[in-house]
Amino acid sequence: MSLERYKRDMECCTRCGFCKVIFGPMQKSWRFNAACPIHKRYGFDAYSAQGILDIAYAVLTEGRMESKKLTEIVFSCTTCGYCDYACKWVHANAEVLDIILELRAQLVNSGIVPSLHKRLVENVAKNNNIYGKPHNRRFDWMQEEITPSKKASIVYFVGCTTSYLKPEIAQATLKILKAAGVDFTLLGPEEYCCGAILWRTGQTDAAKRLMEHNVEAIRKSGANILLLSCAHCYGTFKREYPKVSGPLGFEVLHISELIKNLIEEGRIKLTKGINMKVTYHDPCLLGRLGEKYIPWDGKVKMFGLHEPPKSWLFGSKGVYAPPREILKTIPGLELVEMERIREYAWCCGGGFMEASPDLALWTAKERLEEVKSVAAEAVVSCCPHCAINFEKAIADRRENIGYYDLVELVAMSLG
Amino acid sequence: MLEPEILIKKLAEVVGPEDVVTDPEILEEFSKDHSFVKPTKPLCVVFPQNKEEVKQIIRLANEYKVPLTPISSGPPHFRGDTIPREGGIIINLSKMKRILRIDTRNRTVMVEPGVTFGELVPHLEKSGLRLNMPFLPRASKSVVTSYLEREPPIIPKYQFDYVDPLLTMEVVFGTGDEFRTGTASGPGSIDEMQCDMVNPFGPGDIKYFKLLSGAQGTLGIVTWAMVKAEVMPTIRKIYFVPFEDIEKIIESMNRLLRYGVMGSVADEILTLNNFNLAVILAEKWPEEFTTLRKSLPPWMLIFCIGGYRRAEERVKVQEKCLMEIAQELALEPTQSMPGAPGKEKMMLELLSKPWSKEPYWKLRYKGSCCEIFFLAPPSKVACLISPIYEVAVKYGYPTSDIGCYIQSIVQGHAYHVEFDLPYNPSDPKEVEITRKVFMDASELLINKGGFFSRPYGPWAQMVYSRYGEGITVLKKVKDIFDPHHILNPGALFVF
Amino acid sequence: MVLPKAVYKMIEDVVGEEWISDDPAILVAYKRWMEGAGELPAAVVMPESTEEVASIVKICNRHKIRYTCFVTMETRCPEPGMLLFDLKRMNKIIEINEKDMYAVVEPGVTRTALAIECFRRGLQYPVASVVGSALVGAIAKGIEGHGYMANRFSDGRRHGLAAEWVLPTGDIMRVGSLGTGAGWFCPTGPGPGLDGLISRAGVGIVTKIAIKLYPWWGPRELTVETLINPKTGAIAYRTKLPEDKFKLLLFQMPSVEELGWEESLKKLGEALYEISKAEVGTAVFKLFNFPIIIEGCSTMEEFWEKYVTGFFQKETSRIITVFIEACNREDLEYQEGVVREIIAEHGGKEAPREFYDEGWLIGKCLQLDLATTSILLGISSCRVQKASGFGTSACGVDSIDTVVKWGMGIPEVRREFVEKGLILDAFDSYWIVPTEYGHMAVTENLIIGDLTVPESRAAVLAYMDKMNERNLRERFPDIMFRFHFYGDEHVKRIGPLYSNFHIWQMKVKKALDPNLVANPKMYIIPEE
Repeated sequence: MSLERYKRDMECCTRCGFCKVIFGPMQKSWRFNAACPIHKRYGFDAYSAQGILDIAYAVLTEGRMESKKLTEIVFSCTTCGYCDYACKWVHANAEVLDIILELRAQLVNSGIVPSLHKRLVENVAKNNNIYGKPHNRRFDWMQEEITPSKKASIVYFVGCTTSYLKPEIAQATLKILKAAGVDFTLLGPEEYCCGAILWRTGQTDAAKRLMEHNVEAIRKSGANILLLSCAHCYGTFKREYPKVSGPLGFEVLHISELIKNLIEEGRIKLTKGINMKVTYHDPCLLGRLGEKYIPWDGKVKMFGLHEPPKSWLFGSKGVYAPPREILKTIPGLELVEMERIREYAWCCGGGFMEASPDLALWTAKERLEEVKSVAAEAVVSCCPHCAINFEKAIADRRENIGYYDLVELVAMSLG
Repeated sequence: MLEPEILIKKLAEVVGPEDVVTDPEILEEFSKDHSFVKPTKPLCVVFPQNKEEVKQIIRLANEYKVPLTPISSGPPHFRGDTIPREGGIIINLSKMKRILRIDTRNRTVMVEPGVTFGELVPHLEKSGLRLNMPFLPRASKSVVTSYLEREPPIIPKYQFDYVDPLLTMEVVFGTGDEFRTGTASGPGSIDEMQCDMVNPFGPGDIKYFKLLSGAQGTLGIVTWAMVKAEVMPTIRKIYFVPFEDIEKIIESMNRLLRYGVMGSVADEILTLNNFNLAVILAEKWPEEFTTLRKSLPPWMLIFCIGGYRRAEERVKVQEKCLMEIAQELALEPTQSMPGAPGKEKMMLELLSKPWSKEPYWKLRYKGSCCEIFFLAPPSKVACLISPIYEVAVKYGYPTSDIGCYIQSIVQGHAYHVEFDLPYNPSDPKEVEITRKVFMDASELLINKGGFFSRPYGPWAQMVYSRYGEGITVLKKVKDIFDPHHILNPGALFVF
Repeated sequence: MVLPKAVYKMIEDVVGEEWISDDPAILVAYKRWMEGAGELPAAVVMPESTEEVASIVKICNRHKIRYTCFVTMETRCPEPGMLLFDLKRMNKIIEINEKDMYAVVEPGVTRTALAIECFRRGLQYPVASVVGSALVGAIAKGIEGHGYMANRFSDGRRHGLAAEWVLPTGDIMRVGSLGTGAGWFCPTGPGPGLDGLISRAGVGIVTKIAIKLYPWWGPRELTVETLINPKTGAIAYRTKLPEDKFKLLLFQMPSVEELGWEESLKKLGEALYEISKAEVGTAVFKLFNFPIIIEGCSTMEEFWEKYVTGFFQKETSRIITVFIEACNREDLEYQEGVVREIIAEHGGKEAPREFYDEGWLIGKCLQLDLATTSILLGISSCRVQKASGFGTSACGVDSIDTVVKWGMGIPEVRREFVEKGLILDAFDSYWIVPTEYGHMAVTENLIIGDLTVPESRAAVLAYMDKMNERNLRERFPDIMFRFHFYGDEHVKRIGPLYSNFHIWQMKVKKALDPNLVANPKMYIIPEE
């Protein structure tokens, strides 16, 4: 892949601005009409998909740019994908997110990479996780009561963040699987970081090594379903892994999709009441970036005709409904929706918090304002990154708002 | 400075000797009006008949630095804008009387400045059109001047901004250069152009029609103007609602312009107090006036509902909307005029035509009248009524003699509020009292938020002393379009 | 060209370090725009208040730094070394006055945000300008633009009320009633309407403006339904408006195939004329068919499949759209009855149901939530990006007859470019929007080429030039707002044909901007 491949996409940008604000009748108020975190935060047009595309175009056509801000701008974007969805919603059909990622990869290859991001690669190289924590402690969170099978059709991929920082998510997941009598296995020491953050910071070579390893391990396990409770891992497996490994040979399933099926089949019942007013935050990589990659290799002819015809990822097939439906079945729980939801949700910054901690915190605080605007007592989501980031923001603001992962609430409500 | 006789001779060479008037009696008439602006006699009155003559007169005025005061309407005049404050020439456009075009297809009228309402309205009626007229102008009022000076029209739903229904114009600037505005500007001559000259904006980035409006002839002299006309409704019904309370009137007027087919129940809509209404309705003077003054309610909201295409159905829908409003606001609109039953048809006529009787209605009561008028947003109108009465009491002006007229404009986004103060011009004491009331009340109303958007006479000083940076820009504009300041000096540009 | 360091520092002292930059990576994001590229600005500044804007403009005057302002879309520094004001930080809705029906906004307020906030209060902001940007750029340059609802509300040029305006000298002027402390409601006066001078950035920057609002009988909050194209997965959003008060009607008038180009256009023009003159229909217009269709299709291939059959050329060439907003059911029925009667009189018929309901599906796409997205909120993207954008030609706003006459000449201008395959045979890709009950009309013809392909791009530009020449030759009014695009040579050529307006404009420009710092090349190029 190179930026040349996306040249036409960049040239087609007409500065319509839809990558920056919530579009159309989905806007509910002036207060919450921003869509792009970096644009809202930093103001200049460079801090937006349009801006980064312009930078990419300049880099492509004019070569190296002498700039002190280039690195900061290009690597600030949280890669939440709103712009990608928006550009396709208005049917401009440009691969906006891929261009941003490609630009990053190109910069990294030419030696431009923020030091914070470099450290992530170093950590992974040493310990197969982005936190640099001991690899052999990856499964310390496991409790004795639940033991995975050695072989099963479902392999549960836990992820670095859950394993090391949010073990309660994995514990709750296992509790649910046990209650439902679902047979599952784990990769154990063969589970490496999914590579999400490395991929999205342009450190694609390091990411590829992880991806190839993981795919190999999963295939070897004999499982035909990869189960994930981390949205970050989920979106990466669905959308980025096939770019590296081709067709995966196994289904990628989020825990919320499984839980929904389990409830419908009567294998679990949510009977314990939780009296709380909650709002659901759509993780970017579960929603608009949670669609399966569709390869395309063709030509773009005059008037934008793709030959062969291209299938686009519009963000419509992400996981939006299952978490909501699950929450609605929990007795006593009241679900209220924020203004920016589903494919047009505001990014909480969590997915990029390791790469841009300050921006991530700012972004989460913005989201908290929206949570408060619907008078929710707690936020629910499906991602440990979102969890950590929200919790930081809540603590920073000293808000009396809770945060729960979906699986935690489900586990609490299990009859 | 040129000798007057030589100037007059030069003017006669332009327009012909019969069109240069120096008769002292006539000059005396032009030296004053019903305002309190100090009378000043002109040197002469000149009557051009076409654009070329206008240009030549302006060039002469520039060459010899002679003030030029344009006038188009016949008397009476009320605002002081036609008084030649620095002497000089009165350029009287009343002989430029051609109705150049009545375009029934595009609903426009193109007229020279000397065409009056009295002359134009009957022509339009024959064509099935009507003007969005100001309220009861005198028959001798110039159509061009009225719209150029932003006199408020009585059908707010047709008025899309404060300069509507004025469209395009031909003007001779104070430099002597001719110019056409909007899509009348080109390309090429009027005969060459493939357009109907209906778009007032431009040419280029400047909206000249706005710049020239409200200018009292201080930037240029318009030699023809195109204005919108509207379809004459096939059904027209008039309604009346009496009021005691001004607050409720405004609420009702607002509602009638914010509900109904295409957002407005009402076509024509205005409010008069009993004094003004009695003055205009009285046929036998003064007996009927005295009776009406007592029988009419303090305030009367008057409006019309019109039907065009599928007229009956439209009127029916509008009336249903009216009933909904009436119920909501506890109103009782009637088709019979409370306090003056039988006058409905007359009122309908009065809303459609200029005032053709002598004297003009504002002069009927005492022979002279001074006007105070300004604009206000809907929320402020009610509180801008009482100040005039307070000031009148202070100076002993009889409050029951104050005429009041409230006109909603610009699709209900603003109101023109007008007070008419009749007085006996032969009674110096009355003149003085009225003048004091005029000056004090004007100042007070400005302080309370009335927008004197057309600052005639002494208002110019009052208003522009508050205008800030606008003065700088106005000066620059004046210097461009009338660099020698020969056009109506002393009016408007008093800073 | 860079900004002198000392000047940069002065401006930085005004706005703070965070809000000015001359870094190339920042600047490059302001260079390109749809129809081309301008020059790189020397620096970009993002002020937060009128006072900051004024201070910076004064600095520019002292040090002869040319500047321009922008919020969206048109960045376009026409010459190097300019300071660019990005006004997006000035994004407050200062007031929505329900009694007096106006909103006071700063330039960074988005159209949709204002419209949505107005709906919540039972008011309507009649969005003008369907230019597909999300942001209100027009305010910074003095309310321009045309919208679909012009029949009832007129267009952007009539919507502005009083304004606060930083003159090219940096002095702050308050126009209209604001200037004498009487509030925001009136733009014109006292005396001559100085609001007539407000336009593009060449005469200063409007930092606050009041905009007329109207009553809204619709829902305070819009209910949006998400639809997904089963074939492509594309998302469409459809708003449900109460059926007793809102109705969108699409009519097929006799087609080009049936009557020929001129006759069918005449018939359509007559119908538009009668409908608008009958004072019905909040939005009444001849639809831009191709841009809407291309936008509505989720991929170009989806569009192309139907395009090559000639379907669009046949079925969608003469479409009249009427959007009715009614205060009650009877009002709706009346307006609809009148519209249908007039359409029938002129040989038209209602478009097939599929144009509405499945509108977003392939080949039949005309709806695209036309009522809400395009009409009420004026935010159809309309940039036709997936075909790579478009060029535009028009004649100036004038009567319906004028713009219909103008439309007659489109085939002749188009022919050579279509035959060479350089532009899409976007049959009839132009709109006619009656304004002010049909007293005037707006028209615009979009030329859909592929701007990424040099030959096609050149063809689009050549088309625009050819249409300009045709306008001049046949004496149609010029599209005055495009001078910045066509350049000073064009202006000098046509100026004498338009009462030498360019000279007067130059004089005004020089008077208001004695140091010629306020984007002189945008306004009219003064002789230096």
